[in-house]
Amino acid sequence: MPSITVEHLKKTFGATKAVQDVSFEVRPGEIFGLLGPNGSGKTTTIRMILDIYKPDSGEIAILDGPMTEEKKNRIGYLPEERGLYQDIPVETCLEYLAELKGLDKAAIAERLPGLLEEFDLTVHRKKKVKELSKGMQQKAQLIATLIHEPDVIIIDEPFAALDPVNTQLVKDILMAQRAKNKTVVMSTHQMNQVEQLCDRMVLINKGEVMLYGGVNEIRNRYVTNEVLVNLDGELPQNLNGIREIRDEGTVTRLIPEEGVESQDILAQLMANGSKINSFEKAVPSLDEIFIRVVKGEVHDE
Amino acid sequence: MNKALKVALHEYKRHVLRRRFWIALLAFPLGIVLIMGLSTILSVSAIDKNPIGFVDQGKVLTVAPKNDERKGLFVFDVPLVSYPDESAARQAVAEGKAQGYFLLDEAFRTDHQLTYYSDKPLPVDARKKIDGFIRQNLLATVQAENIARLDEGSKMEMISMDGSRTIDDSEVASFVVPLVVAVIFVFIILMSGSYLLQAVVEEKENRTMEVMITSVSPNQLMTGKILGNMGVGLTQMLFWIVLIGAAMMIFKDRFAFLQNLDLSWGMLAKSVLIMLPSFVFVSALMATLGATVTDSQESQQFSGIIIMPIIIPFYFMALFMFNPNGVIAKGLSYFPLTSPVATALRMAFTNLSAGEMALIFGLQTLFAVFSVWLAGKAFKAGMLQYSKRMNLRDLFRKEAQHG
Repeated sequence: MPSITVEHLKKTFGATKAVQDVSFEVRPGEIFGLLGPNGSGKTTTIRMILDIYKPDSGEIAILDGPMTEEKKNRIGYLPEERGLYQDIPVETCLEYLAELKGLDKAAIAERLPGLLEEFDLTVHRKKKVKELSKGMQQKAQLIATLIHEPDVIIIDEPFAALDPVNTQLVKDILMAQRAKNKTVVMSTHQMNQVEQLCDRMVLINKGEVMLYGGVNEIRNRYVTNEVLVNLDGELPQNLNGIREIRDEGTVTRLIPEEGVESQDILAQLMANGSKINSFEKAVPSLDEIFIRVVKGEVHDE
Repeated sequence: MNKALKVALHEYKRHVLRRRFWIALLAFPLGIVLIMGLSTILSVSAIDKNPIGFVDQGKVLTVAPKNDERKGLFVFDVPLVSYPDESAARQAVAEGKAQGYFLLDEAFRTDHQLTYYSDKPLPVDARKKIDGFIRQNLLATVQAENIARLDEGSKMEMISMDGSRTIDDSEVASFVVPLVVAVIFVFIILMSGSYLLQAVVEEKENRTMEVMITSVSPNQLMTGKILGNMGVGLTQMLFWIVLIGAAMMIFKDRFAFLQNLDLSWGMLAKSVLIMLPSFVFVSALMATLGATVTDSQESQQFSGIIIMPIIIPFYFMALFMFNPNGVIAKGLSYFPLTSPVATALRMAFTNLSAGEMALIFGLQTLFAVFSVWLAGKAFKAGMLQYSKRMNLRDLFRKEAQHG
C-alpha cells in the first residue's frame, strides 16, 4: 500500500495557478524524487500533502487516509525555509521539537546524544543555534526531522548547505532510512543526487506532471542511438553512418544517422582494429532530460 | 502531556530561566525603591526634627503633648517641649536644643492668637501638631459626651440602594481593590502581551512556522503561547506583589493607612473574574497582530493600536468618579478593549448589579472567543507569509478559512 497518494491536485492563489493537475504515489521503502524548476509547484504540493494548505480539488492520502494530528508524530519534515529557534541552545531546541513530535524525555535522552554524535554536533550542543554555521544548522534540523523515527520523511533540498563530506553523510542516512522500509520524499534540484539516490521520481513544471516513474526507466525512455567511446588511439576516419562526432573530454560522443544501431558502430570499430577501453549507449543524464522537459522539447506520454 | 502545555512550558521557561528576565524583574522595583528612597531621604533630611518649645502664659495647656518617642529615618515627629518662660525658651533656641518656640499669652483665651518665634520656617507637620495639641487642650475643659468623637469627626457608612454593597471608612480596600486589579491588569497585559507578540513574530523571523505547524495544530500552538506568556506576566506580577507585600509588612508601623487596610476578598474575586476573558481577548488580539506583521519592529509600532484603548478609561477617572452609571462610563465598560479598566473603575465608584456584571462578563467572553478564532485564522493565513504584511482582506480570503 502506498504511503502517500496524490490524485489530481489543484491549487490556486488568486490568479496564480500553483498546481494544476498533479498525481503520484510514494511507496514504503523507496526514496522518491519530487523535481521541478523554481516555482513549478513542488513546495505547494508538499504543503498540501502535509495539510498546511488545502487543495482546491483532488485527493490526498498519507499513511492510509487524510492527515490527522496523530499522524504528525509519524512524519518528519525538513522544509525549504530552514528554521530553528535561534536564541536557545541547540540541545534545548532539539529536545523541544522532539517533544512536540510525541517523544518523552527518556526517549529523547536515549536518541539525541547518538544523533548529535552521528552529525558531528556533540561539541556544539550547548551553543546557541545562531552561533552555528548554516551547514551545522541544517544538520541540526535534520536531527529534528529524524529523531522521532518517522514513517514518512519529506525533505526539501537536503544537500543545499552541505559540504561533500556532510552530503555523503546525509545520503548514507537517507539510504539507511530506505533500508528500514521508511518512505522518503526528496525535493531537489541536484539531479546527480536524484540519479544516485532515488528509486522513482516525478517532475513537475508549471503545476503539471511532466515525467513520472522509475529513475532508470525514465532515463532509458530517452535513450537514443548515440554512443560514448573511449579508445586507445585515434578514432578511425572511415566510420560509416556517423552524422556527428563530439569530443567530450575523456569520451567521444558518436551521433549516428537514423537507423544506424550501436552494434553497427561497435562492429566497425572492431573491424578497424581499434583498441576499445569503453563503449556504451549514451543514456541521457537527468540534468539533460530535466532541461529538455522544462524547455518543452519533450513531454512524458 | 498535551502539546499545548508543552508549548506553554517552553515559552515560559525560555523567558523565566534567562538571567536577563530576573535582572529586568529586579530592576523595576529596585529603580522605584531607589528613586523613592532618594527623594524620601532628601525630604526627610530637609525636615528639622529639633523640638519646638512652647510657653503657656495663659495657662491654657493642661494636657501634655503626645510626642513620638521613636528615633529613626522614618520618624517625622517634631517633639513639643514646655518651657516655663520666654527666657528659658530663647536660651534653648540659642543653644540649638529647640528650633523655635510659640507663645500663648494671657489673651489667648479670647483672641486665639499664637506667636511663633524662630529664624526658620515652621514645618507643615509641626504646625498641624501644634493645632492638634491646642485643640486637645481646649476640648479637655469641655464637659461633653463623646468628646473624642468631636475631635476625630464622624464615621460614615455607605450602602447601595439595593443594600447589596456596604462600605465604611475603614474599608479603603473596597475602593482600592478594583483600581489595583485594573492597574495590575494593564501591567500584565502590557508585559505578557508584548512577550506573546514577540513569540509569534519570532516564529516568522526564525522561519519555524512550517516545522511547528507539522508538529502541532495552530490552535494548540496559539493556546500554548497564550498560556506560557500569560504565565510569564503572572510570575512578574506575583514577584512584585510578594515584594510589595513584604515591604508593607516591614513598614506597616510607619504608615497609618496600612494598619487599617482590610482586603475585600469578594471584590477581589469579582475584579479578577471580570479580567480573565478580557485578558484572553487582548492576548489573542496581540497574537493576531503578531501573525499579520513581518517583524518585531513593525509589531511594536502596531501594538499601540491595541494598548491605547485599554488605558484610555484611566484618563476619564473623574467621569467614572462622579457619574459611574452615565452613558459614557457604561459604554466604555461594554466596549471590548476599554471594558476591563472601565468596569474596574465603575466597580470602585458604584455598585454594579449582578445582572450587569453577568452581561459584561458574557460580552467579554464572546469577544474572547471571537478573538481567539481570529488569531487562529490570522495565524493560518499569515504563518508562511514571511516578508509580507497581511491586510484584512488577506485575513478573510479563502485560504485563511482552511485549517
